[in-house]
Amino acid sequence: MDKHPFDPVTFVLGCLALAAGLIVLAGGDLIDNARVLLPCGLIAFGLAVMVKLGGRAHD
Amino acid sequence: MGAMNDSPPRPPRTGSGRRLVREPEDRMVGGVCSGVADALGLDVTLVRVATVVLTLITPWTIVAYLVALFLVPERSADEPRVRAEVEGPLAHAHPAVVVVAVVVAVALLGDAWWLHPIPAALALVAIGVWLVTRDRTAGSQHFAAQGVHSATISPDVVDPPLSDVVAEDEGTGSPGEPTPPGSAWSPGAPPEDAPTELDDDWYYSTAPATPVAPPAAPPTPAPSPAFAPIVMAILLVGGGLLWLLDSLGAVDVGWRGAIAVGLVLVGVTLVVATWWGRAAGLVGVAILLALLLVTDEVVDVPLDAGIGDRTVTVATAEAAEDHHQLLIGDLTVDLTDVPAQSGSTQDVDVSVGIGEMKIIVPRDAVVTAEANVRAGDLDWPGPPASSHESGVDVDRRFSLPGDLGAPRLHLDLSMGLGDVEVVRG
Repeated sequence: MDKHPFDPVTFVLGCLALAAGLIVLAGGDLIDNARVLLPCGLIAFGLAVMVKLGGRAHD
Repeated sequence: MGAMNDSPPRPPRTGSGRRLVREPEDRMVGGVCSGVADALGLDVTLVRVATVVLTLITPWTIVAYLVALFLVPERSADEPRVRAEVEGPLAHAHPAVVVVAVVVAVALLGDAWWLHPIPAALALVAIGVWLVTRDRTAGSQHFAAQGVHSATISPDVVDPPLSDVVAEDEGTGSPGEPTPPGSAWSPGAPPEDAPTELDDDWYYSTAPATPVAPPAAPPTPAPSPAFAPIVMAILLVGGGLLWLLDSLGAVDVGWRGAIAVGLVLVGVTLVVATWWGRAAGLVGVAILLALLLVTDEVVDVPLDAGIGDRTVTVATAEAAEDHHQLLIGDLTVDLTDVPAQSGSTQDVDVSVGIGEMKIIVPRDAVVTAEANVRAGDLDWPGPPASSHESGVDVDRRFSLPGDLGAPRLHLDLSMGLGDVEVVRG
């Protein structure tokens, strides 16, 4: 399996899904944690998109 | 090989002798509906609509489709596509007719496919197995095509052979070689009206251009493996088996935990796909699983609580103690006939996931209530005046005065998404 260039958007979305799943498994509620998870996720997602677009422009 | 090529093409078969094949050139999933439409002489849209709507009635439709996918052969390339000629109303029936018929059937049956957990669970498992099988087949075809494209063009495999083409155009003899009898031009020998002295410029300018073999396509790197179908198959097979075992009473599945495990699996796969493989299709799956978890938190009603409109008339103290639940729909709990219990308060628990809840209390009853509405409206009567509250996460306690000797009720009301109304009977 060949390694391909790092994809920041997929990475952020994967981390968000992982975090959401772990929160629920730990006994928490997504709604209660949404006030932290959503803003952080949005910021990370926006940064990832910027990094990806910047990488394309660089290429 | 020659006998195979010389054999005449298969004659088109029509009418009742039409063989059922899957149609590769007109398919949404596997070409089963197209094949059935051709075999029966029906409009393919008609068959597709019927299939989709039948799936809503019973998951066995999915199972039957998957069985057909495996058992019915696909029409081969040398076999012409033929349609059976069938006369009758069905041959020209509009898909809307089928929709109406199926809606009527659903209304008569009064049931939905998700109320039959065992076939639904088997259908999930079947879809998962099909997903893995389909992916493997597609992958092998893809890799086969990949091998052809990335192969170096060999002189031995070009028709005509590349070596012959090059030898013919470049000439097999030297320019001074004598021309064989009967030959107007010999490759490699200049024509008779050519300058006697060999002019390099003339020779190279008039000589036929040497055909250049098309440049070999650059070797394409092997495609990254697609994780999405594999993970979706794991989720479907795992979820289906859990559902099946839960339905059979073998295990007691905590669905919230199971969905969270699925979300973790999807998240890990997405993170891995950051560097290796492809899994973009799993983003939608992650969103779906997260929505299921959020819905579970909002609704807080078990899946088997029921769907539809329900009216419960409570006439005994024992019946009042029951926990009245409804997953989706309108639930009316009529407490007007609840007998008074001297000196004690009766607790009434009512929960609705999505829909409307209406509680009718006796006109003279003493009522205390705790109501929680995740999103929606809450209405309760006075005195002094009727009250209304709406919004997200409405959490309210209120009391209604009553007469001495009248029933004393304590309402515990929980609504996910919808309206709650408490009225006097």
